[in-house]
Amino acid sequence: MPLSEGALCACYRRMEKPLYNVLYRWLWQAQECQDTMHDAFMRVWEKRGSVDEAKLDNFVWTTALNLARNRLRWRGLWRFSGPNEEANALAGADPLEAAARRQRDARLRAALATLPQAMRQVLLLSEFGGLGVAEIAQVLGVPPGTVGSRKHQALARLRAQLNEEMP
Amino acid sequence: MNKIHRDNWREMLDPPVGGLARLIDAVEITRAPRSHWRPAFALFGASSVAVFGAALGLAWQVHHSSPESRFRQALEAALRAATAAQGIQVENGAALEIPSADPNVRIYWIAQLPIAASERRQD
Repeated sequence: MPLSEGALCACYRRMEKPLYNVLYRWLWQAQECQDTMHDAFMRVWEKRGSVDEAKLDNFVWTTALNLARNRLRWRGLWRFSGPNEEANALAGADPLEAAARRQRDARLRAALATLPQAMRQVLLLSEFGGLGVAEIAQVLGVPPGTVGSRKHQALARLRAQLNEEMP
Repeated sequence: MNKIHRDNWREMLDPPVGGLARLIDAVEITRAPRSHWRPAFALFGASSVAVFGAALGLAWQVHHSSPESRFRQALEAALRAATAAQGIQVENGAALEIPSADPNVRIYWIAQLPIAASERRQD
């Protein structure tokens, strides 16, 4: 049974926030994240005839991550391009708060950049995507045990990095 | 000010608004082309058939009104008249064209069947 428009929209509503947060900590540009999400859902819609609704979320995650990876490759990242624009998140925020957030993001970005990609993916899906070990294992196509150990190591390394930053 | 709280990095951001509306619009557009293009394809097909038919008719007309064609038709009529006046009947393309030195003169050899053969035919 092909995927219906209603199911696609319901999936978008359900996944919008976690997916955006994962992509944002990877691409660090709000507009690019939204474009990637849009492209991912459109890819899924193009294949609606063969998409199993039970595995829809997984399919969206995998597609979005692949697209984000392509964007990064195309950009020649991880390079730092100065303060990120983050226009939507900071709209209406007071300047001090906005400055603090920018600083926090810059530190997190620098800390994440030190992690190997495999660890970084697991960490983002777990901490920002809200996915469990089994779900991450399905999305990334690796054994759950590997996901568990990568998550543990990534968290430890990230915390160490962030603590080093603190005076 | 420079401190980052131990777990502050986990803060969840709100995505920009309008993402879902954009997706719905895009999905609608993917559906539209079929119904929009169908009449255009039908019109293109009909006009192609009309143009091809007209071209075929024109080619037929040009072919049959060419000087060579008119000459061949006149020659055929003259040959038929000549053979009919002498009571000769040409059957199944029995007239044989003989090479002529003058391009304006065509020579045909028309043989009479032996009597027995012609009688046999009439039987």
